[in-house]
Amino acid sequence: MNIEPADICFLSIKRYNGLKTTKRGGLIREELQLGYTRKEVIQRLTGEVAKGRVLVGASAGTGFTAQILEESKVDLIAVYNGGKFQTAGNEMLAALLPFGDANEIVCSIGYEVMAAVKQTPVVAGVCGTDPFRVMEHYLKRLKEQGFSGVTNFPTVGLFDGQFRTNLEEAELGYESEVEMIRKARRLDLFTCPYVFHAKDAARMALAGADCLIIHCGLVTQGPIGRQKALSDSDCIRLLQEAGNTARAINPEIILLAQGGPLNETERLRNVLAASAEVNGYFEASRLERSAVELVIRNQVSSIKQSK
Amino acid sequence: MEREQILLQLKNRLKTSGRLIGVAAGNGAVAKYAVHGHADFILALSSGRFRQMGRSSLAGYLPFTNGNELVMQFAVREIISLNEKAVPILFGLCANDPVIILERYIDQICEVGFSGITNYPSIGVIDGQLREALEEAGLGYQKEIEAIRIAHAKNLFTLAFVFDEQQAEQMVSAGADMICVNLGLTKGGELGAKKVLSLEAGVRLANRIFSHSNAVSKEPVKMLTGGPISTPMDLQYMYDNTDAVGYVGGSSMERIPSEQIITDRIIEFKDTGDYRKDKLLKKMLDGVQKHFDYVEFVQAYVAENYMNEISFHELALVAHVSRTHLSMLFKKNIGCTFPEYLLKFRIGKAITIMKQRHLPLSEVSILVGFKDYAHFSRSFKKIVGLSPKEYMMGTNHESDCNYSDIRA
Repeated sequence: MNIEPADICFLSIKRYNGLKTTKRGGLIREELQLGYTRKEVIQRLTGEVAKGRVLVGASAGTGFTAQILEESKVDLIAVYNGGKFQTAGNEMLAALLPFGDANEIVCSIGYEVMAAVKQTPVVAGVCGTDPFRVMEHYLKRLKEQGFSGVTNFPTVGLFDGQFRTNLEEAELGYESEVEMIRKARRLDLFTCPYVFHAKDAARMALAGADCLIIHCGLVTQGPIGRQKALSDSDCIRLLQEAGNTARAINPEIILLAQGGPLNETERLRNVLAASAEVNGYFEASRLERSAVELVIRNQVSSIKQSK
Repeated sequence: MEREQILLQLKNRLKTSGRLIGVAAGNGAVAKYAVHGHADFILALSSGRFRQMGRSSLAGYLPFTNGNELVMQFAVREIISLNEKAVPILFGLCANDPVIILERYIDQICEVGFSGITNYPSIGVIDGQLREALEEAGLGYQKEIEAIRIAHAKNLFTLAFVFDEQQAEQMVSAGADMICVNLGLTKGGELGAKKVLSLEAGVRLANRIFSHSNAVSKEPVKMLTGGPISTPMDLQYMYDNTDAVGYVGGSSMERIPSEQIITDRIIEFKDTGDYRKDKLLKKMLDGVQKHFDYVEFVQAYVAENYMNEISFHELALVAHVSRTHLSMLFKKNIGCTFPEYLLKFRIGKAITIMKQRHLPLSEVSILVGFKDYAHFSRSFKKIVGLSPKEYMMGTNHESDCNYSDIRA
């Protein structure tokens, strides 16, 4: 097996289970076991749920953020290509545009994040529509790199209107993301895909997803946003519908929520309190940006004023 | 090429040919052939490259690669290096790219040899709430207007893709030399988006947009792209009903034609030699396990090979049935033996040829598969009742009706 320099970092950190002995072709080999198995991740998460705790997942764009997230005891860390575009307005939106090879970016941020994280499972945001990758190979590579699981991000689920229809017709649609999750499951990766309504939830649950991140939509101030904005009760209903659909297929499935009104902390509490079936919350980009912004601003201005 | 020089050249070409054509080229070959076809300008666009890779144009809008890097790489290496000094080459600039500084990047575009820029891939293609979110996040169309403004200030040639009236006004104000109304994705072929504006709706949209851009300035050249335009006929309709004087083509010029030509060509190569025979053979092999009609097979084979020597024995071998069985089946279904059938078929064909063309009878006999004229003449007389010569002399209207069924 090839050990890349970055893998050696993991060795010295003794992350997870260290060395695993396997027997192959009569030879005993020592293999690095990086990341958790699917079962281990599920056990960790359901263990937390059993203790009555709310699950929290969050994305990290740098090793530093990942480290802080781990110290704050998040249950799941995600690496998204958006991490590279923190300067571009909303990085989660920039992640959807042709600014870079999403899958390559995640791999490269992955090394940094993996080196910083000691025990939290790390999932990769996989661009499932990418027509330039043999998905099985790419997923295997992620697994070897130490990712414990995958989600479908950037996802075409965030596209709507005529453009979305065009994408679906060009075979760059949500189905390729469902297919990616199916393949990841076969490789024994933990899967926590984004779903946007009950229909997506059913498709992903059938594909073998272990956890769903139910996305409650974009928040915009324009005419479409005002029309589409979800009230707390709309949001609770969406979570219920998607959650029930998924649990009818897989009763064990873990449910997280993200987006829409949940971007506001107060409303997030209300919605989570009212949605018994939802196990937790997933936070992409907001934690990272807001925290860093605030600290840097304060720090700089306090130095500026020090004389 | 300098902007003034381009504008002058385009004006002259408009005077002589009345129309302008821009070609979105995804590699050196397409650019080269576009120049041979007298394209008036070339656009180096990421989507063009994706099409050349056998992927949908839409791949240019998704996070599969950095669009600007992609264009910079292939266009400098394959298109700029062709050194076609008489044809302006425009860079498809993704203005919202967070890893470039627009001003500096446009300088760079100019330095490596492009004559101008265009806003591609444009955020204008994305609609719905995502579009709203992108605009609010500062990843919107405004940045594209800014790019055109900057390039114009640097005296670069600029083509603006616009999707609505307001964008057209803003782009004209920013100094765009060309306003190109994007009517949506190009239909046709295997990779195109299926849902598109109809030609009618395209005409209405184009006219609305042009009237708004005219209100600001009539100077910019008016162009069209995409939507329902995928053939020269579609384009003619648009020319007849709008102010457009030109067309920018991508899919319609390279993807759709090459898809068809390459696919057909390969099928031809694959079936080369006994093209029709192979098709028959394939049909038969497919059907052997099912319920292929051997008699039908023999008939089809005769219809396509009557001009050559036909051996019933070989036919039976190909069909994997015994000669006697095939012969029996044939007589039962057709009512005559195989040699009789073949003879009647050939004479029927000969009559058709004799009626259509005045060829020497010896030649006719060869054309329908007879080795010598004497044999042909004897057989003809046996079946028709007259010798071929007598038949030609004037009775062609009476006796052929008996054989029409065989000929069909």
